[in-house]
Amino acid sequence: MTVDSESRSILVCEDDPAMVRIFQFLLRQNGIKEVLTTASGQQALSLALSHRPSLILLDLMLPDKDGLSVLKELKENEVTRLIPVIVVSGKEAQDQVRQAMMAGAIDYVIKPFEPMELGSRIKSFLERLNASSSGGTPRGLGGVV
Amino acid sequence: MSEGSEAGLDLSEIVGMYKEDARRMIQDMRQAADRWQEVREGGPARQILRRLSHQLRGSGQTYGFRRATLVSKALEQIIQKLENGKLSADERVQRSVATKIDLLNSVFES
Repeated sequence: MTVDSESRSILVCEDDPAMVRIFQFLLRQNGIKEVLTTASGQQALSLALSHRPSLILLDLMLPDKDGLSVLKELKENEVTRLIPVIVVSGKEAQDQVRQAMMAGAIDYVIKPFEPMELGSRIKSFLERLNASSSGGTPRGLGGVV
Repeated sequence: MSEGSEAGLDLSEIVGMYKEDARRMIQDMRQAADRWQEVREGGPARQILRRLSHQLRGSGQTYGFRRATLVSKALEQIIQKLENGKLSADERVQRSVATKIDLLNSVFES
């Protein structure tokens, strides 16, 4: 059985309203109706547990908690560990990228980014997710934008 | 090609709101820079400058305002150097910060 994008929820954890708006725009363009947003890393963990979104877009510099810690906690929790996470961050050092990928992110997008490029990646991810009969986790989107 | 129209996607639906946000952020940056003693001592004004320059660096080019990203990046680097002690918050640095905020303002003026 396939699941369409409209029935999926995506969690955006980002403290910059301008970036939240562009994520919402890109997700809407890909048919996503439910976008959960929070600027708090702690609240992102709670929302991930309660809503089990299909995807999380995660910033690394959050006001209350380091995004990398959020990612690690998501991956250590039995309930949330399989939720795919795309890190979207202004931190461009290779070491940061490596740490995020090692912690379990499926992709790392560096700000500023080309909206069309991120939109394509989200589209590709959703298509693979929707086509997956198990609803499992498509991995290996690969690379750094 | 004018700034704000470089993105490959049609972002016109949200660019107007972004410009309003950016102008507000620049106003906050200017007010923070005016509290130079706080910037010098690493107080809240410096944190505001760091957070807002970081955000504008990330969002500027994403919305098609490449120059906003370039100037914000330079501003963020100044604040980082102040934090690392690689730069002292003297008058020259203060003028440089003020000039960059003016430049940012000019990007979003129209």
